Amino acid sequence: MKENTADLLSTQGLAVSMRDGKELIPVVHPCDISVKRGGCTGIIGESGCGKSMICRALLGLHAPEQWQIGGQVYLDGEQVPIESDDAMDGFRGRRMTMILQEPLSAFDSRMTIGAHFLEGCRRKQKALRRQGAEEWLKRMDLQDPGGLMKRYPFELSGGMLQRVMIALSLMTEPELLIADEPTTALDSTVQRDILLLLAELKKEWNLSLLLVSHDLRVISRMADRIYVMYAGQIVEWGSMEELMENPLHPYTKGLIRSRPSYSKERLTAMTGRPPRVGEWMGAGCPFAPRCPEAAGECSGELPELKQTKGEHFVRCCRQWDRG
Amino acid sequence: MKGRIYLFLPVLLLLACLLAPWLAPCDPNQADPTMKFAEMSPEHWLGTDYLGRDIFSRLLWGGRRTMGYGALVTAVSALVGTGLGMLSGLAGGFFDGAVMKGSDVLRSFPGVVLVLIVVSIQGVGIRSICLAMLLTRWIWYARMARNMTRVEMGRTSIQASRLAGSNWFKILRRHIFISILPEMLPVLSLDFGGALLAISSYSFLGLGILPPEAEWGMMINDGRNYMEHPGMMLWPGLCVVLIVISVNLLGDKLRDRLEARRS
Amino acid sequence: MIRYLLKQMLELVPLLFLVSAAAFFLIRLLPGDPATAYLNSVNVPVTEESLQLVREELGLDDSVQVQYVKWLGQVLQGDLGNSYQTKQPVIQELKTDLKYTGILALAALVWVLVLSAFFGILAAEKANSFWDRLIRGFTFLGAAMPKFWLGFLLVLLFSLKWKLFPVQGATSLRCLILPSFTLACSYIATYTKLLRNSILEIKNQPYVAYARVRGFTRKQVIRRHVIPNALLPVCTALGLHIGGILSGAVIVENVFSWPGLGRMCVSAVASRNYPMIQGYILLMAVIFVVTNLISDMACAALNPRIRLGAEK
Repeated sequence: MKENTADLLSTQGLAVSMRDGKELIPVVHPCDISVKRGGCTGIIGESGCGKSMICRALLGLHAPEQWQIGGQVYLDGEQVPIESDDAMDGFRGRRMTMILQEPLSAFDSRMTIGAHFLEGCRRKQKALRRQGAEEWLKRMDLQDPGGLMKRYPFELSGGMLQRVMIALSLMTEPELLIADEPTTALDSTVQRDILLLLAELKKEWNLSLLLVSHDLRVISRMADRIYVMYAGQIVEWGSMEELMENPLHPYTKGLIRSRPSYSKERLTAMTGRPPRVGEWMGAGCPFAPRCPEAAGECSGELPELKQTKGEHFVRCCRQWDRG
Repeated sequence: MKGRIYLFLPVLLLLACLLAPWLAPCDPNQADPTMKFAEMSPEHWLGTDYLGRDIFSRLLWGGRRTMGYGALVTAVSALVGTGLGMLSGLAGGFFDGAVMKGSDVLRSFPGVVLVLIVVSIQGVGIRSICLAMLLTRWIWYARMARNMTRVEMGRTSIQASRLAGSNWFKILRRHIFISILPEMLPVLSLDFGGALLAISSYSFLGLGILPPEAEWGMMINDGRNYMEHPGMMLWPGLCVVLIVISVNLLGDKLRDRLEARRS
Repeated sequence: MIRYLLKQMLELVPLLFLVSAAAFFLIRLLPGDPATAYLNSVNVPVTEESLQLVREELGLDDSVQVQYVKWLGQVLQGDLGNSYQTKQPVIQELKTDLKYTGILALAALVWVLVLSAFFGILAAEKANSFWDRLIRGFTFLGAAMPKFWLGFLLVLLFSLKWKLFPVQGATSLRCLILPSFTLACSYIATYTKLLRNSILEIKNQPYVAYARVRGFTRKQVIRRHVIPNALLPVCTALGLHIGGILSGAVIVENVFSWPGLGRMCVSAVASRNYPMIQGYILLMAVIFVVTNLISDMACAALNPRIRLGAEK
């Protein structure tokens, strides 16, 4: 079963449910996501919409006692065994990897930066690995890699740690890097540097990137394909240009409107809050209660994700005809 | 109700001990040389000990002492500790530092050394034991009360109350004490178990309650020379274990509920 | 690291000072005249003559401060006086007793570390399973067992009924098994529970997920990240429990007639052998300070945050 070869990663009906006793609470509804080879796909949505769940599911990090994962994932046409923790060892860190949100908590505070790089390394290869690590750190625009290797994580700043984390993740030269809110915990100036660095690495190493953020600026700067998530569902997706210029779903429009810009217009904020996990039970459009364009038909049935034109899909019954 | 079963037996035991003067079939200290080591019988439910005393009666009377002194020590140390902790949290500065540092060291210091010091000075007896136990048992309460006082003091409601002219004593009593109280319940429960174990241990060592008065730890000690009659030490030991397990369970349950309510 | 240790040591010095003062005033605070008390406790008839003799011998004619300084000087030279009963130097008697208590405490520590590591990891790995529940039940039972009662039950079963171990004494390794287990039991329960909860908490930490993301297998991550980090609170708790273990040893030694410090001190209290009590109290304080320093060092070695002063 070969998938579209232009895509490095694609999912079919990837879904995540939380086990609560004998019940299953859907957290991420079945979704199809793809990342172009050498491209960058962005997923945007409010916190709690299931973005991070998708990242964890792609890497098979969900404990089966608490979570149920559905659907298939293909990497370069090959099926990724996301439901088997042990079989994923061949993929994680080797072909796909991830950088996390809070750099400080992603490091073991008992170990130096160097120990993180050398972890699991045979004695004979240590010198070689150390050299490679220092090269990667240099590539991250970090000064004095040798000294850095001797430091403990809590002695470094967030921005430095994020760079170290990128180096640590990319050292094995994976094909896909999943970045889960890579800049959220950082100062805005450092944010920009990290994004520039990621863009550079992507070009230089032909790296494919899955970028997850709640920040539209971050996504629109990096991504060539954008998925908009709301309450565990993809409500709209398309190529970056198309989506930014011609957003159809009221939620996407709201996101773009509430983005700060240099114009003198008053910033509009969306009213209300998204439903909590398990709160919305499947009748009608989950966004309807907050939607400025909602009509009677919206509370009837859950709209499907339908193509409007080219690479642009939307899940809103009032927009299909307008596309 | 299934979850409450662990409370049923101990409460029954507690009531029985409280009602010992009416329930106990015999005088707990009345020896009967003709009835040494009697088996279980309708007359002596749990048999008799090496002096022919009724074990069941001694168990009930002994429970009164063990649990009574345990409750006393726990209550006094909770009061002293909470008071000191609240003061320490309120005062801050040097006083706070001294109390916390002192309690830090005292917390892990071997309690038996303090008991020995007090007993050497005051002589053997339950008073010395209780006094020595008080010396260390206030610490847990003091630390909790102190930390919570610090948290509470930062709240706007308390600052508002202060601005409205309430004096510190009133604030302590009305706001801080009230909010500390539910947090104290699980600690009280767990600490009561610890106090029971400690009292029976020291009585076992012959430092606490003196013979011929009945007490669970003492009764076990009496039984050690008559291992061929295990009933003498089996029953009081079971009582201790039962009570301590149930107060520990109760403490855990209370703590879980507190955490569930907080989140 | 060295600065950290010095700081810890400085904090414990006042304790040594306080305890030594308590030990010194022990005799002075006794109801009645210390010289009379001394004569009573060594069964010498109280006469004016003997009182005078004792006052001189104990240096009771000096002021209290002078007495204390003199006494402290003697203590520092290792002279704790003579036992009232055996007339031997106290320090000599304490030495032999200390050896036995040390063996007992170390053996108990081995029990605690081995069994609670095994049960704690098992319970965490199989969380909420039958095994976890069973282990949790045992931890409740273990924490609620009075040490002396548990000791008797063990003797009853293993020594009297099945004749596997001697009832008491300290002549061979087999004698050590029951007492040390009795001493360890409640701590096994405590540490099993602590380790289980600590492992479960650490498993949810981002650095564990990140280690998996980098391609390390489940077992590797548990061995290299989860367990070492889960041991940090265990190490801290061990420091807090030193006093409890020393207290517990007193009871266990009395149950099994183990010739250690605890049994000695209880009999010293019963016979009002004050030099021995003084010696015991002082020795306990020293042991306490030393073991606390060792546990602080172990924690600092395990946790660079403490070592580098990033966290208290």
